[in-house]
Amino acid sequence: MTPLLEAHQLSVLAGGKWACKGLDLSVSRGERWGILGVNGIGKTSLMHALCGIREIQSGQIRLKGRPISEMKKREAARIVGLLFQDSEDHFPSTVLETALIGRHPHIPPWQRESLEDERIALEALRAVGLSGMERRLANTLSGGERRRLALATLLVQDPELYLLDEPTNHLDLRHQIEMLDLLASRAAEKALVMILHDPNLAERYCDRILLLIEEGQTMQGTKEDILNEANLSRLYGYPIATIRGPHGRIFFADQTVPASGLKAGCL
Amino acid sequence: MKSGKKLLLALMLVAAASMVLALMSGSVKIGWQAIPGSGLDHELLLHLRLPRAVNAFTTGALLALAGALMQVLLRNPLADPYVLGISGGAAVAALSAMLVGLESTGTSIGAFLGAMLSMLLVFGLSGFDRHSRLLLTGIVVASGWGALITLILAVAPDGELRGMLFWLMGNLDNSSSPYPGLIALILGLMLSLPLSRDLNILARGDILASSLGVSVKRLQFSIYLICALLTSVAVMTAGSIGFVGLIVPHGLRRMGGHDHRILLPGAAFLGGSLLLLADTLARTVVAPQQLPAGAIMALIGVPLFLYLLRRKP
Repeated sequence: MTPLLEAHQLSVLAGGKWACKGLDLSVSRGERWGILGVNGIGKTSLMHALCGIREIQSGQIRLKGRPISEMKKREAARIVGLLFQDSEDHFPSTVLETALIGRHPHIPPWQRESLEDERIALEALRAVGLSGMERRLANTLSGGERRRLALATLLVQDPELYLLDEPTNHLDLRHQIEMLDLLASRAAEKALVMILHDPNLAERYCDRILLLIEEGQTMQGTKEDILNEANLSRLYGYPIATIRGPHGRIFFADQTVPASGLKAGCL
Repeated sequence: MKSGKKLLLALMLVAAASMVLALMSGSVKIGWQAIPGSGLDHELLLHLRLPRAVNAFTTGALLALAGALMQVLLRNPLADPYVLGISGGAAVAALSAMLVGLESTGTSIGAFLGAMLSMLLVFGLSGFDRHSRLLLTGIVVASGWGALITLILAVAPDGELRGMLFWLMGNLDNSSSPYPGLIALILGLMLSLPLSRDLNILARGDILASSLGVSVKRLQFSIYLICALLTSVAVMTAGSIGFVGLIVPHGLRRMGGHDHRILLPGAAFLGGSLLLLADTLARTVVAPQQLPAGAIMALIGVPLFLYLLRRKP
């Protein structure tokens, strides 16, 4: 089956540094990818490049086998949707109005949102626990509620491939898990690519991992192959240790090893 | 009926009422029977009051519509139609035309060209890559025009000064033709309404809009051109009238008009009504003397806007 997303020899510059250089990536239905890397390495830039809203320096990106550069933007938006790191709201709009904009790529230019679109939006708001807030102004919500509203908007967009830029931003622990559970429950017939800062969430919710290391180097593979102490310690430049918990490994920053010793030792 | 449609309907009624009020008010009492008839009343109503009322309404509508568009384009709630130095450019050209002794038609055409020139200048200098740069370029260019205006006023002969000052304050009594304004308003609404849904999304950020399938660059360029047309015609018709373009879109948003499908036509109706009422007051309060409509507009607008701002949405 054709992968949903393919990147071929992709190079992306972010802030004068390479986020990736000659990256080959293939994301198929049912896969859940985690992207990890230090701050400023270019995770967001890569993600924006993958859905065609950021210029790439070289290479090609294909959605369902077709080059994204040759696709209509609306068409691409039905295949791939993006959860942004932060949302902007300069002007007031209600929670329902905000969720409804996710329908944009599905509604022909000359039509209005139908009752069916509204039903889809209400359903998504219910799924993220924002029922009853439809008439509230979005800019009066708390940071975590806004995050869930952004997720609802993405659920309303209903793409086949979800690109999630730090989906757990602003969320408390329970909502982090609820959000990722919700996304994972949809992953069977979709695909997820998420930028995460917590290797434990990657361990729990991802089956494949892409590490952005430095100077455009990347490392990818299955969770089992990639997520380990050596790789993570190298990635973060800080000793990472694991313990085995009842449901898998638990990663943590190991204070007992001095960071200076690590550079000499593991790398 | 949904609340947006109700709002729009109410604004249409307000517009109609202010038009009736404008036509009925004046130093001579005229009844409706004058419309089909002939004679002085008929002349007065159809050839003096009506064109002026139409001009006031369309100018207010053009500015409010342009303001609503400009605020989304720059995603800055402080943007108004003049923010890109448009009124300054128009004023410099219009005052220069007065200085060299051109009549009102020449002044109007000068204003139109000056507004267009200023927009092109700001656009050319900043491009579209950064909103902050576009806005800042506009503000800096506007300051430059401000300096030129001061210089022109300083060297202008005394006889011209009063006309110039009135032009700068916004003036509707030069009885220019109502057609350019009407055509620009209809054209502006026809061009911008189909973009409304895209605008709703653009208001939430370029990259979000882009990820939802909006062709952002093309949309921004279209808004820019529409704004240029609307504002230039407004300036040509009535000089520079501040305030309408800034407060009308905000007022409507606070009344629940978030959706641009309601906001754009709503802004046209409300902006038109406000300026028409202001102009009616301007020419009747201390008749036969006429006050500058722009100043009256601000006098009505300030308390109204402050009230809206304090009211819970």
